[in-house]
Amino acid sequence: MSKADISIRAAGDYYEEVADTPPDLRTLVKDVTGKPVRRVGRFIQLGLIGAAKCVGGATLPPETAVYLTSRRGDLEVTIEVMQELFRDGHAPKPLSFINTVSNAACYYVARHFELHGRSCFVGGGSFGFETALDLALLEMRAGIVRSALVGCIEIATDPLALHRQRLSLAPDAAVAEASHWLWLEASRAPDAMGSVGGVEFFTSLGDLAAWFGRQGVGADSTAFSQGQFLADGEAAAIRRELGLRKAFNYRAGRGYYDCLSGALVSAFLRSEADGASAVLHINADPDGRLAVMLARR
Amino acid sequence: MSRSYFLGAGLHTRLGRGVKANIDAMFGALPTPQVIQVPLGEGHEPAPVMLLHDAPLEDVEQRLWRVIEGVASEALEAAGLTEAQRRETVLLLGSSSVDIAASEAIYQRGLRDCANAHPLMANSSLGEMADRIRRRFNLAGADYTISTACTASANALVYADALVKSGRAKFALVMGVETFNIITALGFHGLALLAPNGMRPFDKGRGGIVLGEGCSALVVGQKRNGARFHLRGSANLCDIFGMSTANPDGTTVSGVIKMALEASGTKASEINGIKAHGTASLLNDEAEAAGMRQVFPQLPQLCALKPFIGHTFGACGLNELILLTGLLERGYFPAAPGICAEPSDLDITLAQAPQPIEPGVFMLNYFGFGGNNTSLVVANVEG
Amino acid sequence: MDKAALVEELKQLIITECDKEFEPSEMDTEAPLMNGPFDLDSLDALQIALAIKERYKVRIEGGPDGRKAFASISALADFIIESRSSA
Repeated sequence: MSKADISIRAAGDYYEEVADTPPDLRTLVKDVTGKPVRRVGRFIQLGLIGAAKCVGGATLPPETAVYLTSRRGDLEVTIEVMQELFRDGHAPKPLSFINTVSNAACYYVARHFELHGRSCFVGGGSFGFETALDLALLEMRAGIVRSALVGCIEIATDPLALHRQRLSLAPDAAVAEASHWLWLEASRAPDAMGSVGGVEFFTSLGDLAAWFGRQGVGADSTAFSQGQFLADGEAAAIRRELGLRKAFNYRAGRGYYDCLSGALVSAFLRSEADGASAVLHINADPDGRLAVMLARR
Repeated sequence: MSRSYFLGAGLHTRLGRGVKANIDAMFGALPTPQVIQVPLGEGHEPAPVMLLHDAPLEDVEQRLWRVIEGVASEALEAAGLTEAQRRETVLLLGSSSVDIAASEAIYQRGLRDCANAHPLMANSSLGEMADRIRRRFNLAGADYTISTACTASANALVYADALVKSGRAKFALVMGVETFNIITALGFHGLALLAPNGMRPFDKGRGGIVLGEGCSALVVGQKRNGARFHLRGSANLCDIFGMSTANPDGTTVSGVIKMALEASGTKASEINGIKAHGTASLLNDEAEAAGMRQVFPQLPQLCALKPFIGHTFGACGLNELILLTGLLERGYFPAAPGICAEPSDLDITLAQAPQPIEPGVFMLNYFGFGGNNTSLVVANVEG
Repeated sequence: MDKAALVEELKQLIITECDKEFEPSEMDTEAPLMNGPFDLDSLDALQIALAIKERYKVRIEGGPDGRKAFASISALADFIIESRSSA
């Protein structure tokens, strides 16, 4: 762990492939968080479940910050409000309208854990999780934040055929819902699961390679991980350039959802990953930008 | 200590198009809100609005983009960023509704053509607007769409400042965007928070909000280029008292103010003026007045800018920052003509004409849905 | 309008609109609706008011009228019956 590293205290996930109708989550929320939560839809429920699975029985410092991201946001409540308003002619219900603000889920997560620290929702295109983690690391390294939850939520909506169309997926594409969370601490925790070395964005492979060279992790002990939107050909070229022989694939067998990057760290920490002690995750966007996450166990 | 400076701004609100027109208008009377009829089912509901100056509410999809393009251009040109510098610029977009106005228009058109149309089929990615802005202006840095309700663009500035100070970015383009949309209009109608006769924050005649539209852009960077204002410090905290209101006892408001003072190394007595959030709802005004008094035994002069432009939600952070700093650069502190001329029920008085003021240290406060509270300390003096 | 039937409808409306896990039979129709055993807040009140406006075409404004309407489930039923008969 280098000086700039941030400790990973815990990681937790919700992931379910959705074959037909997205499942009711009310009972699961109650089981995982220990109390029923009213006036929230599936997006917020998924956030609470993922965050509670991450934190487990631990008590978060009350000043813990919450950084949340999603590419599609709370599709369910937004679609419901739009249909009721424009198709059916009913004004938005107050409780639905309030939950259309993207940061509603941050509020419910903070309230569940009785947190009063920073609270941020950052929407993203191809790099949602990377940008949320980036902001968390930025403020932790600046000494502004000492403890942070960083998470992502993506839900599916009923009917699934329309959901696939909305996401520009093939009619038979496997679809999933997920909520991935990390609990980070700025101090070196003795019982940490691992650490996050950094998040960076590049427009050239040369800059990326130069940065990687400065990170003090050996190419032999680092696994390459191909991000969701990085094409196979480009991935192979990057891997060759960086000389990374080990690979870590956390994407195989998963249904589609945005923010898949959120699954990386916890999947890596729970895996053997070919004996690698670090993982370098590279994602790309249609404009040729590269987003890099480095984590160590 | 490294600082990031405000290098150039762009602004389009009810007051005018361009920063200069906006600041000029702050020497005049408050604009009167317009009441528009928002279609709902077979009928209509009235909604008080302050729409963008010189931008009729038509062709909503193109309108939104044209406004953003104009404001971003103004800021980038004012900052004098070269093509090469633009490629080193990150984008932080602060918005609550993002492009929902366009999604509404597309869905309504779809329903007219086919009763079986579905919403959000074309633009369901929250990052799409930022992608479009980045591509249009050749910004090659990372982009962040900050969506924390009414604090969104204030928080976008906070993160932009952190990115520049840490050396992660040479420049940041911060934007605040909020345009009229039917969901927000009828949503606030349902919350009984709309005031047809204009916003009267801290005034006994308060009646809630007027829906404002606004788009703002600010380039921040390490080089001074003659720019004077900078963010001296800030704080953002979550208030879990309620989804839609700060704790009325003022403790969470005073908490975020104290933290911003501490983060900026500023004593309460050094603050020369405060831009209040001032949404003119009883709960906000009470919480905000109580919170300020817990930190400032003697309140510095206050201003509230929503009476000029309406509540511009996610964009109000940057809109109001540009209005305040723009007027301060001309040597004046804002007035609120006709509001709180005499001490109000909350014992607050607002200036009735712009007040001459020296450069100094100023505070801007914002409190949003989801308990998101932000306090900024800006200065146009060094130290 | 039959008050007993309306009271039962209102109980169900409150359970649905406010996402509460009450049994209708356990809801005290004379208990204060706000700041009482139902643990409802101002957002719940707005939600209930909008549902009542859509379903019964009765507007509940803020102020003294609103306080009277929300005094209890029974008072809310009376308010709806009175408003509809005077409309």
